[in-house]
Amino acid sequence: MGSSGEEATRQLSVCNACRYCEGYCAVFPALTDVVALDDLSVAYLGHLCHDCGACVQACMYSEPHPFRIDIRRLLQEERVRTYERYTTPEFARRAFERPVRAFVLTVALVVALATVGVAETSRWHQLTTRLQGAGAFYKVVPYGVMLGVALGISFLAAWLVAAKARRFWADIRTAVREGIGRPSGARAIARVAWEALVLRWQTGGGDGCYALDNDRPSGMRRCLHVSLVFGFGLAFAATIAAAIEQDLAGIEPPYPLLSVPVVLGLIGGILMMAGAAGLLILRVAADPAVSVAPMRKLDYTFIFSLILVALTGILLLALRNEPGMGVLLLVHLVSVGVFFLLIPYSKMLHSVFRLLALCRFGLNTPSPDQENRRSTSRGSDAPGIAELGDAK
Amino acid sequence: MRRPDNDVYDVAVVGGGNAGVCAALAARDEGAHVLLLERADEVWRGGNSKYTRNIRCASFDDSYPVDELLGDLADVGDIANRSLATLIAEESRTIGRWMEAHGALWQPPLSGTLQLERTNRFFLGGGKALLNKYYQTAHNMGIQVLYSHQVESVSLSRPGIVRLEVTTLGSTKTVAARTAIIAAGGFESNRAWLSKQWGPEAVKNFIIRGTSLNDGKMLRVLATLGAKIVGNERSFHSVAVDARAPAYDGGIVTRVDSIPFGIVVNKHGLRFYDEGEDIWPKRYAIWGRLIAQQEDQIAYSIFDSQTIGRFIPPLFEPVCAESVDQLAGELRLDPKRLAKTISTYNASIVRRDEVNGGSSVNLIPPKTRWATPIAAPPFYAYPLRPGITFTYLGVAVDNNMRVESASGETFERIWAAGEIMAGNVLSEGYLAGFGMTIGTISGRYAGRNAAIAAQRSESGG
Repeated sequence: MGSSGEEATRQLSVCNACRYCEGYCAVFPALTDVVALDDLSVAYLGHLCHDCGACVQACMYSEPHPFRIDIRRLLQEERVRTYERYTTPEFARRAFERPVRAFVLTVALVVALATVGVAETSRWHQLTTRLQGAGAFYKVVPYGVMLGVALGISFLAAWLVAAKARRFWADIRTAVREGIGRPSGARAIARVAWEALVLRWQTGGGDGCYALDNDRPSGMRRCLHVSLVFGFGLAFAATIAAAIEQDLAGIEPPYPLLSVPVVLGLIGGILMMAGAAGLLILRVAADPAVSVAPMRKLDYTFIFSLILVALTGILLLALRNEPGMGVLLLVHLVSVGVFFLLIPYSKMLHSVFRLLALCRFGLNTPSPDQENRRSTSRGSDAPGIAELGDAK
Repeated sequence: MRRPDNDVYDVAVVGGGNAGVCAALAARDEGAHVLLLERADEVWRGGNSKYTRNIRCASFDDSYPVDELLGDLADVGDIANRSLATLIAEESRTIGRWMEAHGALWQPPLSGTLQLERTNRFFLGGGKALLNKYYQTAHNMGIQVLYSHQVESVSLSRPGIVRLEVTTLGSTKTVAARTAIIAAGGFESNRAWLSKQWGPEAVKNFIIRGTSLNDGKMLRVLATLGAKIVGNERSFHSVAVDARAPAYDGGIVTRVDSIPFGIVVNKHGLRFYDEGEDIWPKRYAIWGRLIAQQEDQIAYSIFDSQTIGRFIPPLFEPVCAESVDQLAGELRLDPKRLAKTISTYNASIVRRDEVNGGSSVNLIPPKTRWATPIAAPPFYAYPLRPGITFTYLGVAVDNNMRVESASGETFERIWAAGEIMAGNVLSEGYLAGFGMTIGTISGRYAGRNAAIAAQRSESGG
C-alpha cells in the first residue's frame, strides 16, 4: 500500500475507533463490515460517500486537531484513484490526471473525423442551406452513418465501463465480510435503487449537503443532482421514443414540437442544463476546502461536456428550420459523441461505481435507519462484549 | 438589535460548552439580552461537550423511570445533594423535546453501545455536531457570542451589577451584566493544580481526554468571592487510555477496551488488580485511577492472538511480538518477571461457564472472569496511562442553580451550570451520558432563573 493508502488507513482508524458519524450515511456503518483497511475496502467506502460533508462539521478531530481528519477529501481522492485503477488501455489513465486535456484531444479527434466525413461525402453545402421536412437531418449525416457511429461508440463505452465495473465488484466483494442480519437480495436492491435515485445519503442525516463550506448545509446540491439525473433520463427516453417513431411508425425526424421525442428531449435538456449549471456554479463558488483538485477537474470537464450536449440539443431544436441547421446538428452530434467516448474516462463512472458500492452495502449491511439493533461483537463468542465501548 | 459591548446585558454566560450554551438559549427564550463569553476560538469552541455523544434521560413511562435513574446514580457513588439529583432526574424526562426545539438531531445508539439503548439518547454526529446546532440556533435567536474571550475576575461591588474583567487577544475590557452564569468547566487541564494532590512527576504522566482550556480559573474566581466548595480536590473521573494518546483532546478514540480479556501489569511486570471484575461501566471508573496509583503511572494490557477481534479496535496498533521475551523487550519490562507473571496466571485458570469464561484459582490478585491463557503467539500489549475526563471539585448550588456562599447564603446574581457544579450530584464514579444531563438541566434552570431575575431587577431598579 502506498503513502495515500497509509493516510487512508490512518484516518479511517480514527473513525473506526470513534463511530460518532454512523447516523449520517452508509460509509460509517460499512466501516464495521470491512475485513481490513486496505486499498479495496477504502475504494468501497469511497464510493459509498456522497460528499455531503456532514462528517466534517461533526468531527472533533478535524484540523487544527493534530489527528487532521477530513474523510470527505480523503474519500474524494480515493474515488479518483478508483476511476483510474481499472482503466484500460494503460495510456488512458492519464485522462484522470489531465481531464481537460483529454477532453480537448477527444473533441479535436471527433471534429477531425467529422470534417473528413463531410469532405469525403462532399456535403459542405448541406451544412449551410435551409433543410426542412422529414429526413432533413439525414441529408446532413446519412442515417446509416449516424446509427453506426452511435451504436459503435455506445457499445465501446458500455464494454469498457462493464469491464471496470466487473473488476470493482469482484474487489469490493472480497473487501467486505459477510453481513450480520442480511436482508433479502431483491428487497435490498429495490431499496438501493430508490436510495440512489433520491440520493438518500446526500442528506447529511437531515440537514442537507455542505456543498459550499463546512458551515451551512442545504438541500440545493441534492436537488440539482436529481434534476440532472432525471433530465439525463428523459433525454435518453427521447432518443428511444424517436427510434420507435422512426423504425416502428415509419415517421422520419425532425418531429413536431408537440411530439413525444421533442417534449421529452426538451424537458430533459432543460432539467439537465439547470442541474449541470447549478452544480457547476456550486463547485466554482465553494470553499476549496471542501474538495480536492483532481476531483474538481473531473467535475468541471464532465459538467461542461454535459452542458454542451444539452445546450446544442436545445439550440438545434430552436433553429432547426434556419439555414445552418446542418452545422448545429454536426456540433450537437460531435458533443454527444465526445460525451459517450469519454464515459469510461470521466466522472460519469461515479454513477456505476456508486451503484455497485450501494448494492454491496444493501446486500451486506442493514440500513442504519432500518436496522439499528445489530451488535458489534465482530465474531466474538463472549457474551457481554457488545456491552463494551462507552466512556464518558 | 445589538447593543454595544459597554452596555449592560441581562445575562452574561461564561463558558461555551453544553451547559453554557443551554443557559444562553434558555435565558434568551425568556426574552433576556444575552452575552456568551467563550474562551476558545470558534474552531475549538464547546469545551468537553464536543467529545460527548449521548445524554441520559429518564422517561415518563416505565421504560426508564426516574427512580431507576436515581438508583443507577447511587450505584456509581455517593450522591452529594439528593434533592438536586432528584430534580435533575425528574427534569431529564423533558430535555429531549427541549433539545429538539433548539436544533438537536438524534441518531440510533452507535455500534457497541447497545447497553445504553434504553437509557441514553445519541446526538446525530456526536457532541460537536450538537454544539454546532445550538450555536446556529443561538445565532438565529440573537444571542451575542464572543470567542477567544477569557474572564479573569468577577466583581460584585456595584449594586445590581456583575462586572466581568475579560481579556481577549491581549487586550482587557469590562463586561457588565445584571446576572452571570458560570459554566466554565472543571480544572482537569490545570497540571499545576493537579500537582497539589498528585505531585508534579505523576501529573506529567496524566493524559487529559478533553479540552486543554479547563484550568479551573472560574472555580478559583468563585472561591475568592466566597462560594462554598463541594467535592474532593483529589478526585477525578478517569479511564485507561493508550499511553500514545495526545496530552489533550484525544477524546473517545484513545480509550482501550482490551483490559478484561487479558492481564494488566505495571512497570515491574506484576499484576495489580482483578481485570475480570467488571466489564461495564464500573471498569471505566476504576482503571484510570488504578493506573494513576502505579509507579510512573504506566501499565500494560497484555493479551494474545486469541483475543484479537473481541473488542472495538482502538486508534493505535498494539505492540506485537512473537514471544513473551520479545514483548518484554519491546515494553522495556523485566523479561523474567513478565514470563513468571504470565505463567503463574496461565497455570491458575479454571474453565467456568460460557458467560464468564475461565477464572483463576489461588491467584493474587485474582482474575474472576474471562480468564484465558496467554499462550498463542503473537503476543500483544497496549501501554496505558490514566486519561482524565473531568474533576469533581465544584461550587455548591441550590435547586435554582444559584451559587451558595461558604457563609450559608446564596449569591443573588450568580448561577452555575455544568461541570463546575456537577460535584453537587456526582462525588465519584460516572454514569454514561449523565454529565450532559446535568449540564443541560442546570444550564436551562440557570438561564431561565437568571433571565427572570435580571428582568425583575431591571424593572424594579
